[in-house]
Amino acid sequence: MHASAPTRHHLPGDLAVWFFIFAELAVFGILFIGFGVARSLDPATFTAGREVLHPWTGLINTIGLITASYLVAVAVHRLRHRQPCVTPLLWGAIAASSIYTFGKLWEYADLYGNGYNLGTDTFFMFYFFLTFFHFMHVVLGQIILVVLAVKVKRGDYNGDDMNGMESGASYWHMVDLVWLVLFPMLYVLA
Amino acid sequence: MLAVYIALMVCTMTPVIAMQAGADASVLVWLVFALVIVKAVLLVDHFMEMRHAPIGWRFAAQAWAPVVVAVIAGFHAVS
Repeated sequence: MHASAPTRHHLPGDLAVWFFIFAELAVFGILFIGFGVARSLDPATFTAGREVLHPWTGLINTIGLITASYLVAVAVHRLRHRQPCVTPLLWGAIAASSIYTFGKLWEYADLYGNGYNLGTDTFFMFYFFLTFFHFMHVVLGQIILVVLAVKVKRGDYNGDDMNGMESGASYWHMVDLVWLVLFPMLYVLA
Repeated sequence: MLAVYIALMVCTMTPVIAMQAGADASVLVWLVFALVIVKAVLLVDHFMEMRHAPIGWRFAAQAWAPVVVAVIAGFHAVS
């Protein structure tokens, strides 16, 4: 069978994964709206908290995640069209996303070292809770990318059966989508 | 795909650079809201490949960021 480009009315990945993705997006959406409500009640605390954060670290983290998403999207495209270098692209995505994980760990260490934690004020309660909740999703996404890289290397996906690859990629893009809202909300708008 | 990646990068860097350059906060906020929606739609359509999905799924995936941003923007406007 010849591998084909995704056609109209093709949901990428497994249906169950999409229910999971929408459930995750609903949870994050409610938390983000909670952040917006809390900020509207006490904008001074949120502005003071935001000024403590490192916007350049947030920016570098964002660049890492968007780069990872790009590499995953290219990997899916290349696998579908039976082109080479899919595994290196996935390892590249894992490496790019590691910029985020190490950047976030550094930022946590820096903030804790300067006395900021979950109990500091409402802003930092939201900051640590939201970013760590998202951080755990990134780590799970990295584990999924490792599994995909190993399975592609083994030849488990051949361009005809894209379900597993598309499901993992969709989950990864969801993690990136959430960060696209979370980053400006914490580092610019607060 | 590369063009989408570059567009996402530009949309990401613009508000941070504008903030560092001392842009007016009231303008910056609405710029950020608009850019977040643009980035989310680009990511959903091109990286997630939802432009090939059934219209309902595509709409649901695309709508998440605008809905969340609209609610946050509403609270931001009244605060």
